[in-house]
Amino acid sequence: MNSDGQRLAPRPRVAFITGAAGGIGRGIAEHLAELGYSLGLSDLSETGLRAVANHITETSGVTVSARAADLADRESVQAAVDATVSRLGGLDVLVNCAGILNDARIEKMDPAVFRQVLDVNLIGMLTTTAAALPALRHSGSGRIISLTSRAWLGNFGSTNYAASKGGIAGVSRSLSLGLATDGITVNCIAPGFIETPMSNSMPTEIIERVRQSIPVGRVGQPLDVARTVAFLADAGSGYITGQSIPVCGGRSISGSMRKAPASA
Amino acid sequence: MTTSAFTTIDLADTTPPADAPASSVVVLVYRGADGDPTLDTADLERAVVDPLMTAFSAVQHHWTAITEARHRGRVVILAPASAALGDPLRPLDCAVTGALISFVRSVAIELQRHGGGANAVFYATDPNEPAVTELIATLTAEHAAAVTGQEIYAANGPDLGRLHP
Repeated sequence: MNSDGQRLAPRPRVAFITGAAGGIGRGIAEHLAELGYSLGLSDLSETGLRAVANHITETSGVTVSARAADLADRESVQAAVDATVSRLGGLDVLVNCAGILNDARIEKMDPAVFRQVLDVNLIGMLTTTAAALPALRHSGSGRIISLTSRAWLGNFGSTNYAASKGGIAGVSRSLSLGLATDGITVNCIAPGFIETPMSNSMPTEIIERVRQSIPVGRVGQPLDVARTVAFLADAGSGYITGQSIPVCGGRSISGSMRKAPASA
Repeated sequence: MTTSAFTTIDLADTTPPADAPASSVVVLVYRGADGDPTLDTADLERAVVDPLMTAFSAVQHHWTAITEARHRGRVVILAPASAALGDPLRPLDCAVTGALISFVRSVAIELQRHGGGANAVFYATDPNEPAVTELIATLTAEHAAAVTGQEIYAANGPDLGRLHP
């Protein structure tokens, strides 16, 4: 109701997405826009963020609040969340998508690189979640959806990345139990190989080896992840919490880099 | 560099292991953060990053000895079972423990080509209780390298009927 006692139209659900300028983040943002969500978008890259925000605004007409943020800077993250809540009238869905990858074998891993990946991927997720929690509690059907990775199951040369993603899975189990009575669900999505500008920079022969190891016979697309996000983000998905859902074409149960059989 | 067979490292100890003798069997113990820190109030670097950096630094410091020991090389991580399964009151302990689980899985994968093993053991309240120490003795026995990348609860079954992380 407004101050004159008139019933107000319900606002669209609002989602805040970190890493929105990246391949998967952009795919999630575009898909949620198609479904009518208002969007708060954040990324370290201001230029990339503006491009995504402008494209979504022009093609879908939904309201977008875009603000660059450094996940290592708590104030910067809080400002981006606050801008979304202020402009869009609340917050229902947090999608923790931002992350970096910097692989090396244990003996060659620079400790500073190990720490950097933890800071961005894990501490960034914790900081963003803390910033968003008050608004999510107010939603009544809040959703926290965090992108881990198939690497959460363990990955060669990726102790830092795997640890950061395992940390997200671990804290999500705790939060799912602690926030259940607030109507907030907390889930993780663990993508396998997803075709993005970053993954396309890998050598062609490596991509082909990966493709052959994926039981469904193709690499994933950002939309594969985005559809899973949309399912979990829906207000009707309140009975699913504390889960980690691999979106990997079956590779999480087939083993990595093993050649698929020629025929079933 | 001098070597010894067995080293136990408390992840609350952030002292760099630069001068510690290298060992082929490394046991890392996580006991949880002091108090009940929350996402809002905690020093996340100290509560979350520091123990994980200690774990990585320790494994890296001992890595040559672990890999050169071939099938005798071991990494074992000990952590509270409640933090592994999800404790609503201790989100940061759960973050650290979840990270340690994925870390040791990745260590196991890297160690596989050298013949060694890496596992996680979860305790109820005390990492020194007999069920835990006997399990560590088994996992670090000479012919136990085939047991690797596993997460084992030595805590009277808190995981029974629950999905593992």
